[in-house]
Amino acid sequence: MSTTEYFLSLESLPDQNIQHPTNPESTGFNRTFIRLIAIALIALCMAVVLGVRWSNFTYYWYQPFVNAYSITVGVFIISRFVLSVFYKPPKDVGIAPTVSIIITAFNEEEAIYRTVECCYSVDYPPENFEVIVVDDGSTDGTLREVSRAQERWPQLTLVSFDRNKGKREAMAAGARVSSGEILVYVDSDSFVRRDGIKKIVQGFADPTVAAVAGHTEVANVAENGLTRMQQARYYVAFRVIKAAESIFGAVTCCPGCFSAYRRSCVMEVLDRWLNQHFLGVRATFGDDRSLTNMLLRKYRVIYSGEAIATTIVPEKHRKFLKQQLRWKKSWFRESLIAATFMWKKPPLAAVAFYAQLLFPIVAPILILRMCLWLPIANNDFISPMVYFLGTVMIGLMFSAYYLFWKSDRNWIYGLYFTIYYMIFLVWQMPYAIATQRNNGWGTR
Amino acid sequence: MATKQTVVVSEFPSSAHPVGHWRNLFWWIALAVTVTAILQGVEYMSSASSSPPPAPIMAGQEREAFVALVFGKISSSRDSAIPTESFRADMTALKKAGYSTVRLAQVRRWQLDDEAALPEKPLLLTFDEAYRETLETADEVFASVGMTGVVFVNPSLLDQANIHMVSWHRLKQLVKSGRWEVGVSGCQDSGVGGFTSTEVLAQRYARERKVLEQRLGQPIIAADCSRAWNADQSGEADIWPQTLKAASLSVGFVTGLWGANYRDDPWSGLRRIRVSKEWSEADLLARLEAHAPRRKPFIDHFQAARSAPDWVVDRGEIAIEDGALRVASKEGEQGALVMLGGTEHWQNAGVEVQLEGQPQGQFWISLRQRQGEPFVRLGVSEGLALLQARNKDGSFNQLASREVLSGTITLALRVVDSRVVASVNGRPLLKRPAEMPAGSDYGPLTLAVWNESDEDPAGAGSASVRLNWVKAEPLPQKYGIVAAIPGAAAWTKLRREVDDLYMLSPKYFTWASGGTHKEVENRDLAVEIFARHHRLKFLPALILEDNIRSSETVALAEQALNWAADPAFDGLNIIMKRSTAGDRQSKDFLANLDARMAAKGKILAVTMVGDIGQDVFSLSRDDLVLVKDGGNIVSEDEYTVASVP
Repeated sequence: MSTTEYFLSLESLPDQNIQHPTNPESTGFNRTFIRLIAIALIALCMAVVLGVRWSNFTYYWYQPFVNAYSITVGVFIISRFVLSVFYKPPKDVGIAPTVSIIITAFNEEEAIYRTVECCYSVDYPPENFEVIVVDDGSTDGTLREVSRAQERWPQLTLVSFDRNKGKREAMAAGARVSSGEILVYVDSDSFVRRDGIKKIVQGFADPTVAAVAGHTEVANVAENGLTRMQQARYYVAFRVIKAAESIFGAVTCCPGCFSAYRRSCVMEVLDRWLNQHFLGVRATFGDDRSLTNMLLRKYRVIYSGEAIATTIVPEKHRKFLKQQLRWKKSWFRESLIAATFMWKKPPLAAVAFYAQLLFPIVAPILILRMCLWLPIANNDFISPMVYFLGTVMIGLMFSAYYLFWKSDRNWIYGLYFTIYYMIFLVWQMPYAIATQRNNGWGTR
Repeated sequence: MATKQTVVVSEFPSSAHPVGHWRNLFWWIALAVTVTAILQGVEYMSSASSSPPPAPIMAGQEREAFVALVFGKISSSRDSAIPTESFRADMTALKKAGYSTVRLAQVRRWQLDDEAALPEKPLLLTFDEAYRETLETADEVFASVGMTGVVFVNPSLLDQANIHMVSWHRLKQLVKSGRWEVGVSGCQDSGVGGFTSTEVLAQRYARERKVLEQRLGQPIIAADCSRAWNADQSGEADIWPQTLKAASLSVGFVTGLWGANYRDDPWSGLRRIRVSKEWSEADLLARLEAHAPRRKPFIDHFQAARSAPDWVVDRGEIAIEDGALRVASKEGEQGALVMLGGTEHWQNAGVEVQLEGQPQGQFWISLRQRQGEPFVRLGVSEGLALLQARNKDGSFNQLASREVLSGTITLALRVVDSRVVASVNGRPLLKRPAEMPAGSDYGPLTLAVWNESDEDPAGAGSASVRLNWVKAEPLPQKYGIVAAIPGAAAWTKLRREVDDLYMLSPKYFTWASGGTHKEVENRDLAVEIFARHHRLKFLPALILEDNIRSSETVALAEQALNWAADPAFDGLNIIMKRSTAGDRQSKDFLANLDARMAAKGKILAVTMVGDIGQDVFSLSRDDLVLVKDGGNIVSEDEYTVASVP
């Protein structure tokens, strides 16, 4: 699946080191060979994981809690892969509802023009879409760039805040001024593929669908190892996790970088969403997950693997960790809220959701026990090695999956990200839970 | 179970429809039914494969002792472990040989209650560590042959969730099956390097006992110590029982000389025979036979290639050399001590040993030799045959000696009650039996060599002896009931049987219903002199011609005490019909009379008579009736029960 024809040429983006998100380096026979290796790797990893899980089952009563967790994680991950095989993107039935592309921006002078440019380059009836930029009180040259874009595209609508009010306010303002039947939210540093809008709206042919999550990849993937890890992570998160959720119409988060919403459904919950409070504090972050949750309560939320956009991800670890912390806070908050109604969803989706709710909370405790307590207290150095092996195997599975579909050299970064997560990111969850009431954005 | 992914419509729907979540209820019900069915299936499979409950505890006849075995690892993959097939074969062989496993609780009850009995050939199987493979293998075998076992557990090891040990969950299942009991594993780690503090150990054992009881829901009464104590370390031997008591544990297993466990053995020091992986089923059975209470004569001519397992070596070494048994001290040691297995509780016994020649150093045979207690020994040292008695304080009294020439030497020693008879090369050492020191009630038969030379106290094999054969047998307690004035035939018989007797009971008194009592007018004083000379207890017989009436018990008791008060009498021997001795009144009467006589330092013996001629025990009948303790109903020249119930 080559997408080069759907993207702006690199010459148009002189200042950004933006790579094609899909750039298979091999074709034909080599690709087939690579895919075979990927399948073999997945099979090998799955066999090892199953073997380890079997021992968890055999020796279950030795550490019931740990073994139950391990078995559940193993089953969950394998189930995601299996379910994703059955995923089908929304069929292209040729509908072309009116679309309002809403871009919220805060101090994005470097990327906003290009983002707008991508939006106006989409392959969609011009009379059926509008682009709205909401400037959230930027203090840099964002407004200047938007003005420059308005010169080129006079129909571009600008909503400007005199001060920073938060992304949620900006998104709500965009929704209020919009006229389209479908609202497509795009981050100011995201770039929609030419057929992205056309693809994403097909999901709304189903009247029970209130939101469709687009597929996002990393625009600046070639920058460094961190961006490469995020590319691998994004790919698996969308192609495996969201795809599995989409089978049941229970996607739990439509990403802010590229998602579409049925306007009528958004307006139902807009005020409630805008005024959301949690633990007595106004909710500022997690707008995308929060909005998804509110819609998921009554409607179906799906994923479109063919509606593709790229986004610029943090290139520095500090910014990346702050972003992850913010995401964990929103995840925790919204997961608790979703837990109140997810039981109504199809059982397999509900069970997976509740299991997934426990994993990040239990993981730090488990790692401490496996890697510190057991070796120190029981001289058990086997258990941490087995745990690490299981983690590596899961990471390799993700990497092999990426290798199968993308066949590029970034595949191994899936494993690196898994290890990175175990070393750094897993410890953020307790901190995120403890600092829920701190509603700062973090990366602004 | 994918739900619809898209609904194909040709037009964009103008409004959204909420999802009908109620449909998912059916899927939830289906999931619940599926999960329930799976769980039921798993439970059914596990119950179908679960083993049958253990065989019920059989009532039995064994009142004296039981043997305990201890197993280490059982595994087919470890070289150091007993192979699985060997273990299975051992258990099958034990079952076939008539052994029955007993439980700890059963053993404890048996220890406390004189009336309780164990099954015939009782066996307690123990495992000193809760290895998973060991217990799974053993449990499978136990289930198939109907046996039970005891495993000693260290709770902290199980808490480590080591998959080589059994899990708590599984251990609970094993206990629940009824085939397993659990004890506290006492001293298998370095934390119990030495028994120095009762308090510390007791706290630990109590804590572990509570953990086990909480986890398993069963009372825990036993602990084991699988390492040898240093008996020379001051207090170690005392700390262990004190520790068990403080931790509320009533049974303790220790490592020491192998042997059976007798009813009156200290509850904290029960012994176990460690089963070796080298043993075949025949070896195992032979060792069990060797250590079970020995109730039959034993003869060893040392013709086998290896020494019989009946010989338990405490110190030194033994070996079969050219048809003789060589007993020798090891290098660096001054002596050797060997015990005949199964004789730990021998009371009356006779032993005969033939030496090939003079020993190097001293050689001794002993009966009733227990550590710290008096005993008697017969031996050879520097060309002299010696009969000695060890006192309580450790000193020895020489009772007799005789020079022995070179060549084979046959030593014979017999102990019956408090009488000791010794002979060398067929000639008695003493003209009259010697008396056993007080406090020597029972003990094993031992053979010992010793080198007392100051010049070479610990040279290799510095003390040794070669034995051609050994004969040993437990002797029943026998006594004779004789007329007040025996005739010549009775005297002849008496002189012939005297060495086997411990008591003489001339018929002096009778008691008939109505309180009529008679006493012989004439007595042969020679009978009393004979008894004193041969150190026989002198208990004149009181014959009860009729049943004891309740109105006569007081008078009878007073008269009996009056008769027993004679300073020449050691007590009385009441001869009564067995049919009358069984009722409650008679038992109470005899118990009461026994207590009163004991208070006066007199002995009460009871001879119960069955269906024989009534005149056998008449005062006028002149005969010698030999009676054996613990036998059946008396008949002439046969045996009878003769003990106060």
